[in-house]
Amino acid sequence: MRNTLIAIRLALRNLRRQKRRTALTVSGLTMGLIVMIVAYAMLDGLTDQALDSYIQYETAHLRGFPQGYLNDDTFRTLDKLFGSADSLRDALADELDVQTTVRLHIPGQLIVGTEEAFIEIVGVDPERDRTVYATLDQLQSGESLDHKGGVLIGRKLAKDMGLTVGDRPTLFARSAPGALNSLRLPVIGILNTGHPAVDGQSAYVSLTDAQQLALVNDSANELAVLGGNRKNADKLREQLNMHGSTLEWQTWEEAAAGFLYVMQFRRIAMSVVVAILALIAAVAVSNTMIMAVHERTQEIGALRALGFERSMIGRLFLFEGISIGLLAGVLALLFGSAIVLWLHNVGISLEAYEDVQSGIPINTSFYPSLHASNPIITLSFGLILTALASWTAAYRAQRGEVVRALREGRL
Amino acid sequence: MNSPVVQVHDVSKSYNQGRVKALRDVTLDIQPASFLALAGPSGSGKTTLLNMIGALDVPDQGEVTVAGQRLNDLSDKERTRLRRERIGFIFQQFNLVPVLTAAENVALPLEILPHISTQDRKKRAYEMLRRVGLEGMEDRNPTQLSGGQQQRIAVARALVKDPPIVLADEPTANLDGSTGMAIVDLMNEMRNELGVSFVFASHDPRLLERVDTVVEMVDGCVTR
Ligand SMILES: Nc1ncnc2c1ncn2[C@@H]1O[C@H](COP(=O)(O)OP(=O)(O)O)[C@@H](O)[C@H]1O
Ligand SMILES: [Mg+2]
Repeated sequence: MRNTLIAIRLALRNLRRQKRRTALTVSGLTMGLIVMIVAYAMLDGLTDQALDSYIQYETAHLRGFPQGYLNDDTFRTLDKLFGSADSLRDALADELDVQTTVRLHIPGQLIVGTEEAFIEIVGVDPERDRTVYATLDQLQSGESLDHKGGVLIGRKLAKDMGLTVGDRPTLFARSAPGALNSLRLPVIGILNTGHPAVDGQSAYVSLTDAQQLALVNDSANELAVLGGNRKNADKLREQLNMHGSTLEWQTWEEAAAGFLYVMQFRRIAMSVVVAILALIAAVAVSNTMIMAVHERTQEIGALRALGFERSMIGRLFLFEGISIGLLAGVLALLFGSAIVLWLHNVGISLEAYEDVQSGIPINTSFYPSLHASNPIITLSFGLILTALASWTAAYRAQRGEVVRALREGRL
Repeated sequence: MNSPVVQVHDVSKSYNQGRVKALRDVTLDIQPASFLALAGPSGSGKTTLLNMIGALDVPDQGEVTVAGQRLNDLSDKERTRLRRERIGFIFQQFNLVPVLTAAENVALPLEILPHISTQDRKKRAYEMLRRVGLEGMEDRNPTQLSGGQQQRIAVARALVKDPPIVLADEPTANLDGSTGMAIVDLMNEMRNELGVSFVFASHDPRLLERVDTVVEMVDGCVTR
């Protein structure tokens, strides 16, 4: 323990020996670690924002569908409905401390003059929908569904179809009995959520209008549930099944599985980049330390003559290398966090990429976020990296024979 | 008479798989409080013999006993410990640690010994620096000091742990004449005050004039 303290003290002093070289190595490593902090913060921010977006606009915490609905690929979603929508959702809300709402999804078309677009018509109960979803309040212009009848459409769909508030497009769909049906409603608001499906392929109408269009009575095909914590979605499902629910339940995590899978790949790709940076940094640190050992061979010999153990000489260089990592790590934490916090406040504009279909539901700006694990991982990474990188130098320093070190100045 | 502090008996050492015979059957006793020099031309084996005595190297043949310990029986670790506790070293190149102050350099050998308090280390280092004439220079860095002053620090560093023997390989070779001799006189003073044995390897004639005993070496053999 005492020897370790001596070695640490000497190592810290030795950092000052070649100030320029130390400064260069530290700043290089700092830069790498900053890149790492910012890059992971961007990934984390992207993931957070996208998941928030999914939950707020599409998946809630948990959604119940009629049996078979989720695997249906015929677009005949009106074949499967659950009745008594209102009593079911009320029973749930009373017994479990959750918010619920129902939606009716109808595959259909939006027709303006000779233009038509395939969309999903979503019937919502405005008052209750707000307790679960944030969709209805993301207005870019106009007003929401509360007071007057009409349709809300997404920003991108409005742009594509040349629609503005006050226009009266036609909603066109196959009803549950099979007959084609249509509904002409004024556009009362334009939505901007950043979620591509909401902004580009959906039209929101009142539940009653939707039920009229689909010719169904008091039926729906989505029961959305919002609990306290999104992590508890699985538990919530168990409780619902115990309550004898016959619906097929899907958690937000299952719904976003495709996205999470893609993010996993981005994370791996990022890690490859980080690994390459790490390798470069390791070579630089290793080089610095090996040079230090060579310059101080005589001194190593003298210290060994004075009675320093081999292991102590090794530790001296190991700690010197690790101090470089610690210094760089702390600097990177300061600067990296500052950069991330700044970006978190101003956001990174994605306006220029608007037309690129990323499929990721984030808005025109995205905000990197600094998870607690990020600085911890980065700092440990810096320390482990420098420890490994100084290993060779430390080993060389302690391996040599005293006589040779003193005589020839080499180990 | 006390028993010798160093006994070298029939020691041989060769390098490069026996092609270079650095020492041939060397026998030598060194008494406590000696002031002794190994003399001889370059390559005659002075440093090699000093390294044997200093437990830095092991003989191929023969026996070396230092401060009552038979080096042949010691492991690498035990030899390190012997050096740490019982042997002082002074080098031609001074070999001070440039990032430590004068006082810290002198205290360094005490740092690696157990049971010496920080306060005690500092006291002893300051006392030693005073003795070698560097009072007031305790906080200086060696790089700010002259060669003579650096070698004085090295003398203080060698003596601070109170060893029975100090080994000095060409201690005056990097110093000008008068500075070198002042150092030798200082070491002689220390020998008289502390009763420590000094063993030099040197071919500096002025140093050889000042020692009590000159051991002449030629070609790895002690001739006189
Ligand atoms: N580590 C070594 N490897 C090879 N040869 C050595 C080594 N050390 C000393 N020698 C050789 O041993 C002989 C004695 O060297 P040394 O003891 O350094 O002499 P001196 O100190 O008297 O000049 C020389 O011929 C030298 O080249
Ligand atoms: Mg020599």
